[in-house]
Amino acid sequence: MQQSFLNLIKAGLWPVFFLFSLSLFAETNLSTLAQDPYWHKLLHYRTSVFGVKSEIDAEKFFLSPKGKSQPEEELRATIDQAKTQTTVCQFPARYKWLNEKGVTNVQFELCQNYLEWKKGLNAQGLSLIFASYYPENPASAFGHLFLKVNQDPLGKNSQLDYVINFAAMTEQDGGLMYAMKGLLGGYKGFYSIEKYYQKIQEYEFVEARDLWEYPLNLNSDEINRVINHLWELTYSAYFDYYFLDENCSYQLLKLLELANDKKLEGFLSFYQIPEENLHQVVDPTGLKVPANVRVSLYKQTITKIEQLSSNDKKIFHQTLKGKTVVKEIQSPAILDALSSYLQFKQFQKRELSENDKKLKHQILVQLSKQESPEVTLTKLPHSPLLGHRSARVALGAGTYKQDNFATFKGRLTFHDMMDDDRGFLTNSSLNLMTVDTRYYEKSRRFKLNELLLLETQVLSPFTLLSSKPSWGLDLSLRSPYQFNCDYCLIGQAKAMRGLSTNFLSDQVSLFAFVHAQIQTLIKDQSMVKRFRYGPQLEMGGVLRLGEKLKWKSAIIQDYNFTEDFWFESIHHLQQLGFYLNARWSLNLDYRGVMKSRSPEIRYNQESAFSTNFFF
Amino acid sequence: MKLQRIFVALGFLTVASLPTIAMADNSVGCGLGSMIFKDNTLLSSTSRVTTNNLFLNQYFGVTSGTSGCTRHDIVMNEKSHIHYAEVNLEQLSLEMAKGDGQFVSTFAMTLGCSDAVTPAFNKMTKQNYENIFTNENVKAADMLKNLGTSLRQDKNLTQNCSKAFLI
Repeated sequence: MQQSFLNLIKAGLWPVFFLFSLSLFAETNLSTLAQDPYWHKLLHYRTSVFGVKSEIDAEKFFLSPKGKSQPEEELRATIDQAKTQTTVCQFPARYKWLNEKGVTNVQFELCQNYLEWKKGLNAQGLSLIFASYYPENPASAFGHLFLKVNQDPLGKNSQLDYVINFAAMTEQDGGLMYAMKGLLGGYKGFYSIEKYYQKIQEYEFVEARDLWEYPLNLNSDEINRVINHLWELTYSAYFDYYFLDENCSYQLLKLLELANDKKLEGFLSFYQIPEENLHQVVDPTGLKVPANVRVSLYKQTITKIEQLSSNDKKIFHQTLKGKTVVKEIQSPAILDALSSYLQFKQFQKRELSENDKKLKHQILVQLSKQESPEVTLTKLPHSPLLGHRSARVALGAGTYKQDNFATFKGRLTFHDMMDDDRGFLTNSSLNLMTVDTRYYEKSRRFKLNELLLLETQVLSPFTLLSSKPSWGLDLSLRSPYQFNCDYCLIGQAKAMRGLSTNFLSDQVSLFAFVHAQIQTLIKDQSMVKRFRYGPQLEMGGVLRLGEKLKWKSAIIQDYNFTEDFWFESIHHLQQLGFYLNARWSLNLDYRGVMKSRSPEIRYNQESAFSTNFFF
Repeated sequence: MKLQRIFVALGFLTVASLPTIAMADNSVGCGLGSMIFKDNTLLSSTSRVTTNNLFLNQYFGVTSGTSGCTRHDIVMNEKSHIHYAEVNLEQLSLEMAKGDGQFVSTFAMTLGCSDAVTPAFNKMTKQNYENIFTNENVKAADMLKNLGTSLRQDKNLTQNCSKAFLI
């Protein structure tokens, strides 16, 4: 009796002792586990000087009230709730990881919604999709990235696949408020899941953007981790959306980082550019060739019209004016071009006129009675991955007013009109944060020559399909080479509107701009309290000679509506770009004053040469 | 961090606030343009906003919300052809007239047609074009109904398109 009582105590003690030691073991283990980089990825923790904080701003994403800033608290709360079925089903990525670590042993068979959702996605592979630039909208100038969940392992014809997109939900705010909120995190960003054909509609058809599909080299375990975490995110998380850094592209990279141990974030943390992120993800895989390119309806339509003979083009135009009998057109190529054109028009205007609607119907009926037309795209756009990288440094030399100088330039991002256009929007500039310093030989002085906060100029040529104006902006400090004030700087804000047209299959572009500008002179580091305002007229052309050479020439006339500050002048600018490869290019610049009413303004000239390196 | 943000933000503010560049041309891109308006009724008041969701709603409205694809939703399989037809009616009208193309072939997939009969399906839409798109105002629902009539006259297609009975 006593013996058996003792035995009972012994038997009872063992488990207690076991549990005690286990909890001790867990105690140490948990705090190291909470430091695991993977746990930090799962909770989107970001470490800064202020400590650890999650980028997710939704409270229900955290199981502990302190979870947003305390990884260990969150880990404990997660383990504590391992028996709660709803929590387990909500966070399969967390619990699968904890299962692997031997901390929990959770089953997911009862998570019907999650399992059905996963079955519906049917992820056999993932592709990164890059939507090219959209000239009419400055905000999309860097392109856009989203993920496609491939039902076919190779990501082939896939309109029915789902895509994962990160976007912000906005309210009905006006322009400035909208921009302000977008830049400083006033909107909430969500992951969303849509069908790929919805994105095709949006980009290829409505916005005239090309879609580039890059399959990612991931195994099924890696894909599973991404998809499981996506489930956690779509159902319970939102992020404050920051246009420049915590944007669509950044959040997609964060999601992809869940796949394995690789770190994908760029070397600069305060801005994220889709085009650069595409390089980061795709370059290491060596698969620079996209599986597929979807060419925009705009380009397809242009090609169809260009391929018509001149007589067919005549019929094309007459039909649009209602001067032909559609039933008499026998050529499928004309009918195809016409229907494509009207389709493009419909997507642009959202609703065709009654006449155009009827015309389109007649054309399609007539097309259905003809043989199918064969159209091949002769000119495929250049892959964004074959273009240059967006950061740039340059070394050079030049002469200005009998003095020689050495120059050093740096640019944070993104593309200059005189850089190689391949992979970028043709004849466009978007330079953010550019610094140009010089050392003058005779005067032995260093000088800040230029500081561009933002400089952009987009030539958008008039075509049959598009008559959007060209535009530009400039927010910068520049040296006024036109007049004699060697250590002056001009601060200027400038807006441009213009027209542009292309010739000789886009080899030549001509343009004319009106600039509205306000300038102030900064002399010897002290601000002169005088402003100058007045328009500028700019006319010129860009000539593309083959793949390697580009020449830009412009004449600029200054008008001045204020008094004595400095005077009106005409000057010109010649620029030559020579492209060695994706990393290196050469620039030649020559500028001079041609005419001036003021004796103060000499016939100053400046010539410079520079070697550019992109990284 | 915040300072850098504000600094770079200033540059972009100039872009965004410039009245000559119509912010109404919202693209769903990365950044400002990628923001989707919460209130979908905005669509009716501003004619030029072409954000994706808004644009699609134009189509969704047409057949009284049969598809009901909202954020997060994985479209129900038996309705996938309806959703597809609503979104891509424009492309389908063109490719059905040609009797060939990626959209009409994908549409055949949503109707459960086997790969082998897809060319025949595409050809059938071309031959029956005037019956399917009877006039210039045909909506997705009309198209599906008319297509069903034409499809059922073709034994080969009826047998080899597993979801043909749905339309």
